[in-house]
Amino acid sequence: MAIIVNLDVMLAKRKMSLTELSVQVGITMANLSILKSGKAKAIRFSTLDEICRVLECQPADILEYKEA
Amino acid sequence: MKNKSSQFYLKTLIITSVLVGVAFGLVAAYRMQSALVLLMFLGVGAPALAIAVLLYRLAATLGTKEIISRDNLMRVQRIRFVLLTALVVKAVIVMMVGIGNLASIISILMIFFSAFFSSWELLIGILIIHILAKVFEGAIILKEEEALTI
Repeated sequence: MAIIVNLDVMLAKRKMSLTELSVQVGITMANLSILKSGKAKAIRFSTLDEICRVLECQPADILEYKEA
Repeated sequence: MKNKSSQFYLKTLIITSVLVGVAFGLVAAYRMQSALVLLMFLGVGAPALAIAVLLYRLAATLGTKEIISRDNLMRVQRIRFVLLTALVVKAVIVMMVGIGNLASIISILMIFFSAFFSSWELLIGILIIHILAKVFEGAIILKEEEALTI
C-alpha cells in the first residue's frame, strides 16, 4: 500500500514504548502492532484522535503517502 | 435464540430428507433389481448425500459467529462443484447413450449440450449457488477488513 504508518518513528521521538501507548490510548498491543507493521486495512478517526492526543502530534506525522 | 431454533429446524429437515431419500432409493432399487438402475440411483444419490452433509455443516454454524467464515465459503463452493459435476456427468451419460446412432462429432456435441441445457433446474441451482458464493465471499472480505480496522 502507498500509505505508510510512521508510528515507530513518532514513538522513538517521544521516547515512548508501544506498551505505554497501548495503555494510554486504550488499544490492545495486538492491534497497535498491526497498525505499526502496516498490516491494518483502515484506521478509525477516533483511534487516530487518541494516538495524536497521546503523542502530541498531527495525523500527518503518523501517516505518510509514498507512491508505490 | 431465533437462530438456534432455525438451526434446529434446518438440521431436522436435512436429516429427515436424507433418511426419506435413502429409504425411497433403497426400496426403488430393490424393486427394479437391475445393476444399471442401481448405478443411476447411486449417481443421483451420492451427490445429493454430499450436498446434504455440506448443508448440515453449514446449518451447524448458523447460531454462531462462524457463519461468515472461509470454511463456510468453501462448503458453498463445494456444493456448487458437486452440482456442476452432477450436471456434466448427466450430460456425458446422455451423450454416451446417444453415441451409438450418431456418426458426426457435431451431432454428439449437440446431444451433450442439449442434455446440459435441458437440465435447467440444475443450471438455475448452480447459478443461484454461484451468486450466493460471490455474495458470501464479499461478506467475508468485508469481515476481514473490519477485523483489520484499528
